[in-house]
Amino acid sequence: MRIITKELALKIVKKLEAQVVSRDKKPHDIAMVFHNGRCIAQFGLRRGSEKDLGHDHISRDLHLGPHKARLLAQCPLTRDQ
Amino acid sequence: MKPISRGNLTFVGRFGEPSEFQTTPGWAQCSPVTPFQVEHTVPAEGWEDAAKQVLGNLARIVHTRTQTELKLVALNARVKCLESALDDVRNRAAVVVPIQSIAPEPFELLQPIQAVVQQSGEDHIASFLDANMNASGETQEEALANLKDVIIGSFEALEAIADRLGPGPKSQLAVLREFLKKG
Repeated sequence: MRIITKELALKIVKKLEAQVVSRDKKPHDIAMVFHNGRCIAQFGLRRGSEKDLGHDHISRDLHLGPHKARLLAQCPLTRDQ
Repeated sequence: MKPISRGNLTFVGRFGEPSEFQTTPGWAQCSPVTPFQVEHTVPAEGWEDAAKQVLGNLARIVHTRTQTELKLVALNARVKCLESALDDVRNRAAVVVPIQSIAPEPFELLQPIQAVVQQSGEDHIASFLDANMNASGETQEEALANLKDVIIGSFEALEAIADRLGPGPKSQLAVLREFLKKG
């Protein structure tokens, strides 16, 4: 079972207000998380229309456990809150 | 088969066939017999002791078999537990794959990248641990190909904002520069 699907990965991108660097005709876009004008983390986002495309690697990129990464995606609070 | 009784003695469906009772002293003259003969047979002297001995033997046999069956049940449970643990170990086992080339991308690989591929649920995750870069894929090969793409994509993205990197990405870029060079 996948812990982080593409749908949840996009929620994490939105939650962290990450900037997505699009790469034409490549399998991945790169999401970059900024804080005080500095990039503090980045991870790959798989391109594709499938909502359940596996993104379990994101938890490692963000130095979180898989469960916490999932909770981050599901948390109703915004980054500012 | 119908039990046949004579006084205190009861026979249950063993007549006419060899049985373990035949070997017991005191019961020898009772077998082989037919139900009709039983009606007219007088039990031998000391049959009560023999019966006790037979019952004792029977109890020992039942006890031994029960113990054996319990041991088998316990062993079966342990084997299932070990099989499950073995599956876990197999699933978590990491494979180290050296990346020797990133062709056809316009980059030069200065030294091989040791990628670690592990299963994670349905997918595989390939990691470049030195730079903390990871990618998922449905197979090991796909995860590895995705890792190459993430490494290149991240290298380009980090190079583009090299003056605005926090400590983590700065370290990632420094590691990548030791492995990659734009060709």
